Amino acid sequence: MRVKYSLVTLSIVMAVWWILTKKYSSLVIPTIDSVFFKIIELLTTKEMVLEILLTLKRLLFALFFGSLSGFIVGFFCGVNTLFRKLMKPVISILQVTPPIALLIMAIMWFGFSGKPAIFISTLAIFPTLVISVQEGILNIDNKLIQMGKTFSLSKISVLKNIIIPSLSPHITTGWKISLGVACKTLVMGEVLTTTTGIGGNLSNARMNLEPEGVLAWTIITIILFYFIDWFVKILIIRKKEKYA
Amino acid sequence: MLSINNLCKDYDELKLSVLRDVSFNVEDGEIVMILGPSGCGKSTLLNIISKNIDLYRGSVNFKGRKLGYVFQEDRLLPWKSVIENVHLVDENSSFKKAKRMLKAVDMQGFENYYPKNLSGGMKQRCSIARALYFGSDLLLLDEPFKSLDHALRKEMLSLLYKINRETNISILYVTHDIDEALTLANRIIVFSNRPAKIIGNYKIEENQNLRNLEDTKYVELKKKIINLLGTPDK
Repeated sequence: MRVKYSLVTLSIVMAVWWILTKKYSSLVIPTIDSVFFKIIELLTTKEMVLEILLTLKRLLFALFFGSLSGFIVGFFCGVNTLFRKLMKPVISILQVTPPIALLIMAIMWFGFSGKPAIFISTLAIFPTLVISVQEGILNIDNKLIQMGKTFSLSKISVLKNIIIPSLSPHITTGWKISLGVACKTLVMGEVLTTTTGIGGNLSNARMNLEPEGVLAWTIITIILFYFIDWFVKILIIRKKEKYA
Repeated sequence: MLSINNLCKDYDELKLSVLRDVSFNVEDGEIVMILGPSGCGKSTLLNIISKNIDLYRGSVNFKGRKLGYVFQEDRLLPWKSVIENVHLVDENSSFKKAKRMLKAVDMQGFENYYPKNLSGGMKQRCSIARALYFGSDLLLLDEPFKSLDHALRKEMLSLLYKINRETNISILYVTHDIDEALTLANRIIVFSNRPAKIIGNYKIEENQNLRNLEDTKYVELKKKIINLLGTPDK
């Protein structure tokens, strides 16, 4: 059913795109077939596939560092009121600071490489993950913890069977939001700081006036997002569907 | 099995006195019902016995091995199946034993269901099975059937009676429903309004599943208790 709705949406987007290609020149709106052939060309060229894998690697680094730091800080914010109060301004500042401002600082620290892109992507997802873990901890049902205590469950059993599953819906939501944010900021960081990866190639296509290249790389980024999202769904969400 | 002596509980910060000099015993295999108005401190008593509340005066002496608790709400983990919920409280015991306990509460065939797929009565059966599987020799029940309809409540009381007869497990059950107490109890202890004191203690000798409450002796006892409580039966 979901696929059916997605196909309807996709058809509408394609129809609008097709109408626009009839109205504007291919330099402004590239034709559907030129973009399609460009995607096939990119996905069948070994060098280009390596560029995509490089972005994927950077994305996984950003997700790893962002998740690790977000979970640790979020956990302490959840269990300690003083720490939560101390961290609140830091989280708020990170939420409103434009990634581009951070990117300029990152270029000064790391130079023109993929590192600034990883850095801003990590910082972009950090507040979302802190807030989701913190809210998850604050919303754990105390009655379930009391049940565990009454039946003399060990601390490890309480953590494994009550605390982690209670956090799971909050973390899943935080992760799903973070994944999109990480993809966007990483590619943006690559566009501005490097010539490698999807962002670097997107920038090259822009400079070479290849609008079909720009759109092809953008669509590849979207496919990459869906691929990771699908992978996360298989890992976490399928299990949850049984009881949710 | 359980002896409670001069138990007092105050919440100093709230300037609230909850329990005053409460003393009683629960013998092996006995069903004791604590009857009192809502909010009088009955749940506090169970929380003290189950060590969920540490600060109190007086003494609580439990001579059995393990205490099982059936809460007002089922407190089942929504992400675990029925059998996993039961097995969780003693992971060293077998799933076979968990299945046996579920059978004892008429829940065979529902082992792999998740709590969201169960009715209120089934969830409470499952939490009774969990307490039995834990190996309890004293079962604490905190108004567990409050949210069930009359017919289902009777069915659950009958189930508790059968479990008590078959396993000789002691039961300490708190309720504000006089009929519930008269249906099941071997002894009814009546609590006053807060701070709760014992204002009545009645032994019922008759051992019968689902007693006929229209019998004169129960009608009389009910009147006595209503007079003691000073409020009509809710």
